[in-house]
Amino acid sequence: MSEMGIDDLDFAPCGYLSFRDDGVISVINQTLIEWLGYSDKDELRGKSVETIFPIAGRIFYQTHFYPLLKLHEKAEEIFFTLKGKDKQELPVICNARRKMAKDIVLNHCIFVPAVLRGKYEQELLTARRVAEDALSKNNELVATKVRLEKHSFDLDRRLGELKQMNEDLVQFGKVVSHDLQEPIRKIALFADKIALENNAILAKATLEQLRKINRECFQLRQLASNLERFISLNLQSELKGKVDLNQILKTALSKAKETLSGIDLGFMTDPLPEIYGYANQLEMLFFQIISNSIHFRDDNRVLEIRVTQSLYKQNVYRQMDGYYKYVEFIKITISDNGKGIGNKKGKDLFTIQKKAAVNSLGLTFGLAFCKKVVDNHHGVIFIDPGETIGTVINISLPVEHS
Amino acid sequence: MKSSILSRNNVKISGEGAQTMMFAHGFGCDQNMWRFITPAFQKDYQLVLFDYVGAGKSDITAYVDSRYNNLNGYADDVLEICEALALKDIIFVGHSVSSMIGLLAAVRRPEIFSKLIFIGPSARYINDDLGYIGGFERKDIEGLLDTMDKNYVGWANFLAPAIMKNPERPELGQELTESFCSTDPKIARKFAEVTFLSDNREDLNRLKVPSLIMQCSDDLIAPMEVGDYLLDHIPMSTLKVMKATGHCPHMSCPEETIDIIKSYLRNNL
Repeated sequence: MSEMGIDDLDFAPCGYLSFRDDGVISVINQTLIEWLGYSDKDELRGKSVETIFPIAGRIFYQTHFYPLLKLHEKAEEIFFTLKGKDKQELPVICNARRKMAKDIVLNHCIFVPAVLRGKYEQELLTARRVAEDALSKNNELVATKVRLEKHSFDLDRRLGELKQMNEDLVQFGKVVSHDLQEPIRKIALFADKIALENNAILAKATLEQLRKINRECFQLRQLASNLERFISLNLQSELKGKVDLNQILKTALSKAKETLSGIDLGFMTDPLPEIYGYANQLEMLFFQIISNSIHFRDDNRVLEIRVTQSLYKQNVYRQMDGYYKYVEFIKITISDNGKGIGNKKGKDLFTIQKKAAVNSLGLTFGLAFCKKVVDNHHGVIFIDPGETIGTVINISLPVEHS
Repeated sequence: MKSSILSRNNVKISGEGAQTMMFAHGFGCDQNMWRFITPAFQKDYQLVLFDYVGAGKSDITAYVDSRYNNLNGYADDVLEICEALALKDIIFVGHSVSSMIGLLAAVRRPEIFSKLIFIGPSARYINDDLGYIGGFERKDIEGLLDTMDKNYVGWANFLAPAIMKNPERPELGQELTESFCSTDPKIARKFAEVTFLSDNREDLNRLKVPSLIMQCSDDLIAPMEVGDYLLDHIPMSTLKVMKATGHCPHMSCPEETIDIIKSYLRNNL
């Protein structure tokens, strides 16, 4: 019985090749040469084994096949698509083995055509994808249904609570705006009247006390009207729509300038995009921030306000864990070179402050308004803590309506 | 929260320096791929390595399809690790698809990053009709996904047991991490799709952090045109064409890779 020689291998009913670790083909048999449409072995011998793979096959070879072969010293039943001389494709199944020959490692591969098998595989694969797709959709559907039911229940409860809160707020607003204002006005009026009618007989100290009553009343009324505005932001009467931030910013700037006639300030802004939101609220947001800059300017230098923007993508879900939807956000940064408004306080600045009553413009109240507006847009507002000069306010808002 | 993120992403911290270098692995790999590079930075930096959810020794149960079906979800992995460790001013080194993941993270939170280093980056792998060259036709990518699918059964059976449990053959696990990085096959398949079908061209000019593009010669996955495109579209970027060939210079030519990163960090590239 004679051993199988290289001639037999040459015409064996399978493709054969061996390649070195640097990828160079060392031996290739006649069968494979013919299948691939080459006429001479020298067309492939000495070339890279990647020559016979299409791009997909080359990536698969580099990232999967070769590392696997190197690790396990063999690979079995790997599906490949080979590329012939005229770029025709030949699906094959490959078995491979690594072996030391003399002082060099050779990777031996045999290929068996799998054209029919490949078609069958393809059908199976298509069917599997369809089935997997249907299954995952079904699983998703079932899970979604369960979640939906739970959410509907929660939502219904919350809607009920919200409705109740809203009614409370309406009542509260009414009390603040009318019922509370009127007695205050009257107290002030009477104090005034007493002072006026008894000016001659009252002691100086008493007159001063009456004036104080009057001043306190005035501040109380300011506070009440600010409170009313704050609450009215909860009762959304405005409809959301496309808002051109450039326009809004321009209007807000000119209105803010009117609060202090003759104010000289430098204003620079990036072009801003359109976003989906409440136009009036957004205008008020910018008005408050710019008014703050004006109010807390540093008299040693001309006030400079700078508005910059950047776009990025972020998960839109903020309250619920495990939900992801990445949408476009805009971060608007408004910085000035003023005195800086208590940066150390950070978050506290965005709550309603007693100081509001003292300040006739209600400026510090303004930041609470700002936070409310940003909340209404499902965004975030914060002050950069690290700034040494001026104030830097950052606002992040979703760009599109989700 | 902090410890759960660190274990979720198998975060490993080492090094003696003050500034942090974060290394992010690419497609089909895990943090072991950096083993030839990290020793060179051990003395001068704090090194943070991790595996994306689904890769290496990460917590696979944390994989949520709606989060990881796009690169932003992977960017969240990066940012959550940075937040958990309160990192600032970091140097981010990303291989392959991690370059764009790092870019997305830095676009969102620029204050965390001081420099980005991209090894073999691409903003989009598929050529388009308007003259963009990514190196692939759509059918090439479909072919790759197809090949992965066709070998999926064998692949899953073959690799998964070796990765998961091999207490009786520890040397195999060792060898595996050294010669091939471990990834859950199902997630790897999905990651391949997310990677090769991604298009981040519109995000490029949003980057406000300086970056280095390390472009290999003769890289099948990210050809030269892609490097040029990135240089043209990323503000404050520097392009360095490497002598190294292939897609993994940090594995095949660690010395050159280290030299280039070091000179970039010394500001003389």
